[in-house]
Amino acid sequence: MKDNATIHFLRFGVLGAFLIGWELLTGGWIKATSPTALYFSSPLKIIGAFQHEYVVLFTDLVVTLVEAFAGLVSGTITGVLIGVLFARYRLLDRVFEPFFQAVNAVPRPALAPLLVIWFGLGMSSKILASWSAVFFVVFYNVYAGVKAIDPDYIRAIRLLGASSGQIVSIVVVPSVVSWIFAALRVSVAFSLLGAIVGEFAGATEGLGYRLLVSEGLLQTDMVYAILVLLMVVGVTLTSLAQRVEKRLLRWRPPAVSI
Amino acid sequence: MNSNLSQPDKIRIQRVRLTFPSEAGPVRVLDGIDLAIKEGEFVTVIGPSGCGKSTLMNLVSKTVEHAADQFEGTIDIAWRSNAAHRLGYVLQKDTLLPWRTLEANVGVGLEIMGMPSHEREAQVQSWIHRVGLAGFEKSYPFAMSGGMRQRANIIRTLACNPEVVLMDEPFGALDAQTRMTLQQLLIDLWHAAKTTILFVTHDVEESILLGNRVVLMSRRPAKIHRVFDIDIPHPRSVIDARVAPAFQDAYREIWKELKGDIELSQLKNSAAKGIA
Repeated sequence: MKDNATIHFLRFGVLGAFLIGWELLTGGWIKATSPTALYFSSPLKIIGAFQHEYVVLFTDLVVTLVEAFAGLVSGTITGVLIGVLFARYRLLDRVFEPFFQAVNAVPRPALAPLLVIWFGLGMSSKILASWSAVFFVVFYNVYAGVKAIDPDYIRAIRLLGASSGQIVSIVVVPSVVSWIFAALRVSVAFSLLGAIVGEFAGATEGLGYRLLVSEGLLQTDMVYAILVLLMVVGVTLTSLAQRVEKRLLRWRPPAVSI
Repeated sequence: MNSNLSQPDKIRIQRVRLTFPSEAGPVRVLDGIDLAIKEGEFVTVIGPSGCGKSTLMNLVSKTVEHAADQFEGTIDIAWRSNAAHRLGYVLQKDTLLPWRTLEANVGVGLEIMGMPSHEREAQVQSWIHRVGLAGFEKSYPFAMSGGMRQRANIIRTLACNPEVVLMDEPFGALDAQTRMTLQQLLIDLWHAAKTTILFVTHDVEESILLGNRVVLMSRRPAKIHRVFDIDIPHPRSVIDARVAPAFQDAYREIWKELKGDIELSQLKNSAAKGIA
């Protein structure tokens, strides 16, 4: 077993070799005027795109993040409420379950055009697309979470004299919260996905929109720049979510961590 | 010897019969249980497996409702009118909340009672110290051993200062050494507080070591077969009490009675299987 420092060193080595190889291949051997340059861009050209277009990129990033965040928050809140409701009321659950499954089975990108027709090119259609991706993740997690609450906990807490309200605050809420955070990493990723997909379907700003425009104008450097930006944002947000999850769910035995 | 003979009954169980419906017709589980427990008494209940010990505890705790045609008799508990917390119930399986630290788990009953947090902290600390869990205040249940969890589970109930504590095989899942430690702990805690305790076990030794009286139940349909007074002075030590003559007499007597019942019920079971 190599220690962490060695692993990090090797990782940077791989990344460096990849970037240098890419730059040499595209900058040196493939002529800038050759049609292949259109496909592959190059690390230096991507940096150039960032330098020239950073205002546009930053504005679009903010738009996309706002949409994703609104989708994440609204999807989580509605997912929790309806998840708890369905877990508590069997009738609701049994009646609506097939409908929920059917709606959830529709691929979210296919839903996006309809949302644009309904809510227009502005942010709201993207927030809704993002919501539709997050909602089901949270809903199913919370539903399973409430169902999985050990009835012995409720019984024991009641024997200690708890009222119904205290049972909710001492047993039910902490269980549900733990399931929300267990789903957080996935829901963060889905919220971003929903926003981008919504922008693809029709928008006037945002990274998804900028990606389509750059593609139309054959600005390959810009397309790569946006992809790199999305990658960085995605990694940052999911590792942040992971950190929050780890901190809040530290009471779980390590073996169970997902 | 028994200084509280003059005391009024704390728990009075009279002519309790319980019948469960089943596919093969009604099954009588309890068949006329009469038992009176004084304030401050530590009474252990023992009997063959499946005789209805736990059922009796559920009846006393009133955690299970029974239809009027299934249940007969009366169970009265003389509550003090000013008590903040009446009944504590400790089961074999600990029910510590996994997302709470040890101290938050121990304090949960006091929290429910509405004790302000600074007062609660002091009480929780003192309980944790008394049972030797100091240093583990911030640990989560998954990181604690079965013995530690059961200690926390017990003091969570005792911290509320209940008038009556029911315990249903609380040490049943623990290894022998841990069990002995916790038996001693429980003896000391009881000796200090003189709470009324009704303790169910299937372990004859345990019933004698802990109880002022041992109630021996018969196999199903269960009656009270015999009640043994255990003449070992308190504060007891689980080690010394084991070699006390009173312990050995009771041990021999109880086993004599229990053996017949166990063999009979096993015969019955195998006969029933043979027919099927």
